[in-house]
Amino acid sequence: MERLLEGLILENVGKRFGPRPIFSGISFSVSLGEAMCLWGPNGAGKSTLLKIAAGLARPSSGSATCSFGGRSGKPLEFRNSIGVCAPDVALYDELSPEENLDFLSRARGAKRDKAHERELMESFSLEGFANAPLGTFSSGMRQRFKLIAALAHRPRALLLDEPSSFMDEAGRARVESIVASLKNSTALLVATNDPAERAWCGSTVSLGGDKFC
Amino acid sequence: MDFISGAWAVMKKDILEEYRARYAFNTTLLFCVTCLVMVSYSLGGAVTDPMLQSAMLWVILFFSAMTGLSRAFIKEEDKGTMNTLRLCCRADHVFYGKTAMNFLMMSSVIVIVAPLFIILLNVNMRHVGYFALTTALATVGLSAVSALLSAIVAQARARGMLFPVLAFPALMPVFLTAVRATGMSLAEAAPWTGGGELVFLAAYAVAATVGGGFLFEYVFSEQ
Repeated sequence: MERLLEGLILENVGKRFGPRPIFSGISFSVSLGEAMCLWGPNGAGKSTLLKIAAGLARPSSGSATCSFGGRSGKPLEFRNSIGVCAPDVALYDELSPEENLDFLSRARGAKRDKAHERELMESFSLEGFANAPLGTFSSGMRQRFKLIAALAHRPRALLLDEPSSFMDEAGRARVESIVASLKNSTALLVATNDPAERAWCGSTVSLGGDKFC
Repeated sequence: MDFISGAWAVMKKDILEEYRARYAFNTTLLFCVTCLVMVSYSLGGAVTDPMLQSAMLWVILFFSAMTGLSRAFIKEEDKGTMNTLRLCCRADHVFYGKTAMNFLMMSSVIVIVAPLFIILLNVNMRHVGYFALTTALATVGLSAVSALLSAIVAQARARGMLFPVLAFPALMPVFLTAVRATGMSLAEAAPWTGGGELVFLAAYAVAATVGGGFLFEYVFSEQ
């Protein structure tokens, strides 16, 4: 496969849990300005593939690499360039959004962009909850904050697993408009089985056979 | 500077969580105090041998550490935040942040438990400086090894049982030496002349923190 200048590259990726193969031979790349959908029924391995792309799961075969700023490597070597919003990536219930964002930016060793964070909090209508413990949030509010946390450091690759789950209509519309605004500058990978979320993306990788349309 | 700020970020987050939930500290402290009171009631002033008194203190501290320190990574795995740590933090920052938090927690418990130990067991503490140095060095080793083992058992199913089983052989050398050194700090003879125990505890603390830092990388990225 031809090397990309900037983006995510998955080459011949396969995953099995014990003797059970989930998927195999998956190859694709998502470059900056491209939006890719991982599409398939429940259990097809969308979330697992997204975790492999983020560096959170090890593939049984093949490899996932990132390439940004003329440098290539494992996804976790690009902590400041990747944003992930997924059910398996939780935030700290005892901390407030403000404290969670402070921890995430310090842990990444990145400079905090408070104006950008405030803008995101306002756009997701959470500006009045900046100092409330995350444990007191509803599922929808929690999902909104997860997206804020994934976007706060202005990632160049954004990996979203069913990003508008638990959200009301206003929240879904907000996610859609944010995704639309990031499409041209970010490598976007969305794992979903929701046709509305699939419509955000320019191309699709189908998992789990042809039966799921 | 980057290293210190990354490890401090992890430690500060843990302090805030512990301050609000107070799970590990309260459990550890309660365990220690309950054991001390039970030992004091059952034995009274019968135990006067410094080595026996010291052994009792360290048995209590060891098992309380098993209760509290094992949660360092188990809670991250249970709450689904382990992946957040993997995404945002370098492995060495996480290990040293967690080790520092373990040290802070165990030190706070010892600061409360040590005076109770002296009062309830009618202990004559003859060499306070030696005792303080012994507990500080032993706690560093205990904290680093517990952080590493907690990360290992967090990925297993029978976590509660597995942690003491793994910790027992790994912490046995520091436990036995700490018992001996603490016994010397309670005895009449000046403990500083020997010095072998403190050297061993210091060497164990260095080996556990440095070696743990190297090994942790493999445990942290293993899925």
